[in-house]
Amino acid sequence: MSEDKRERLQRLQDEALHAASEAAIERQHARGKKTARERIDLLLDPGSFEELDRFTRHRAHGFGLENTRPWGDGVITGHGLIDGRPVCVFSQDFTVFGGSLGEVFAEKICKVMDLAERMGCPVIGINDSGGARIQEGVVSLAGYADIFHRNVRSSGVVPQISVVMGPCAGGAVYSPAITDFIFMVKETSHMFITGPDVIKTVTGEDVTFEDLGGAVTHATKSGVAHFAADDEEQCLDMVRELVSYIPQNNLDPAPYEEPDDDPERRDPALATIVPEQATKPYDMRAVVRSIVDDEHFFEVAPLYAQNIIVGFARLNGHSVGVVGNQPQALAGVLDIDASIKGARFVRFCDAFNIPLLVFEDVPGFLPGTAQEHGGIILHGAKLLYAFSEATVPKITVITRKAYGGAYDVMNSKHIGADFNAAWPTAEIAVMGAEGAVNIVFRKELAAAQENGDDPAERRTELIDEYTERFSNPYLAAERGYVDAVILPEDTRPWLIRALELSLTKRQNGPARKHGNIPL
Amino acid sequence: MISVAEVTVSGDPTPEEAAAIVAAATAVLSSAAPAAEDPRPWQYRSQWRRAAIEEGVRSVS
Repeated sequence: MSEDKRERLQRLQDEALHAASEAAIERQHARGKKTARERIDLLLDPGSFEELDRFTRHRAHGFGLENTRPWGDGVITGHGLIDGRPVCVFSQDFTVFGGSLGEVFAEKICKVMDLAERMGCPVIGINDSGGARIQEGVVSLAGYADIFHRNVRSSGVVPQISVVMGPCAGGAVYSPAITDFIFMVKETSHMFITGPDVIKTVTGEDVTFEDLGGAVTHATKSGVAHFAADDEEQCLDMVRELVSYIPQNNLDPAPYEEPDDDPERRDPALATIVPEQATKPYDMRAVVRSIVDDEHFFEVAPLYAQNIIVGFARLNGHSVGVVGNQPQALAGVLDIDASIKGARFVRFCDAFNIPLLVFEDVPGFLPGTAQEHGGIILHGAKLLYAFSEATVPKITVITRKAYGGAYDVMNSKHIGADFNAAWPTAEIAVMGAEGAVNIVFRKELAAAQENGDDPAERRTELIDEYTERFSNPYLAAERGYVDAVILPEDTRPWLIRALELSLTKRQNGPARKHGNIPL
Repeated sequence: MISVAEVTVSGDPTPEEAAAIVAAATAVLSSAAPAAEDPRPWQYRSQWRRAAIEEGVRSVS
């Protein structure tokens, strides 16, 4: 090969690697943001990135675009490794055309998404874009739709992860919305359909970018973001950790990691973690941590619908999805947000062969007009539907309350759980003793009042009687609704045995195109 | 586990025939040798589990 040809390639490579101006890069850094390439380097194993389509350029004319044709067209695509496992990546480059999406930009993203689907590996999209490239008109809109369509096609086939590290506004938000997980960075990333200016014009509301669509807003109020990181390094570290729990595609099992933790480890602290008083809260995260390997629980959406906890952990090296009611928030009750959060997580785990562990302490569904008028009937059904349709191994441990319809919903035996255990502190009943006594003995208590007796004393007697008779796990155990009543400290070894038997679970339902989950 | 096998060709083959016989025998022996050990538990090699996963993924148009 002639030296000329070698030099030409080298020159073009240099131009492509420095497509943005120094000033644009400085502005990006001044905002506390990294460049598209810096982000890829942080995300992937060192030296593993192989870029695709470095020399693509837009073909647009008009508005002077034909005079500016940077290599790469504002998005960097390719593949690399995370902990040695391949992933496909695209990283939008805000320093080139503000990361705006035009025809070629969209083609590059579609190409790497198609590659991920063919090769069966996760696709990670780093979003930092000013939106559609207005000069390219409807072609930009077509580009978005091509991406959305692929997001849907790949859903449940390969894991899709969105990392929002800048603006992501208007129609562009629907690509991350369809993906499995959304990561955001506090202060520097924003997602919204319409921005503060439009909102001010249309509704008169004053709202800042951060309050409208910042990481904290989406991680706490809307539930759109699953993770809100303090900075970009932390964010990309979290993405790497998430990837460590999930399989490459829907035909692979989740990664196995040789455990250091003893499968027979028994934590005596579990014996006293549930308070004697049924109304006292405790932290279900502490229960989960004391049972899973190395006490490490990678929580998903920790700031949203805190009355339910979801996340990943390992149990004797096997990756598991954990769902738990959280007595520390709203007494662990199921409400609209918790049901949606739980259901989406359960469906992800089921789509990607990740066994489900459920820790149950649920007093029921949240009462109130806000919930009823907000559609708790429909939304609560999502969680019921998700657990029912899941065919991955499903195991439940009831630590305390399992009341009413919520008992059925929380991965009960009746909707297909493979193994269910209850602690001796479990109360598996239609409702709590006080509520039950108020209903069942309403007439007797009223009569006591009329007769001049002490209804409070009688009520206490009846509550004690009801508690003794119904607020325990043994009526359910008599019927096989729980497979075992176990001591809390035995939970880890019991779960590991149940899980390892369940790993070869095979369950078929009737063929169908798809079910009709109450969306 | 057999790591080395000696192949003895009897009869009176030509050098080409002998080489072909040795190559075939070596191929058979190497295909029968156990694969590199998978450090994961047995469930990860279970055909039953493989079938369960494949059956769970239904194609939709």
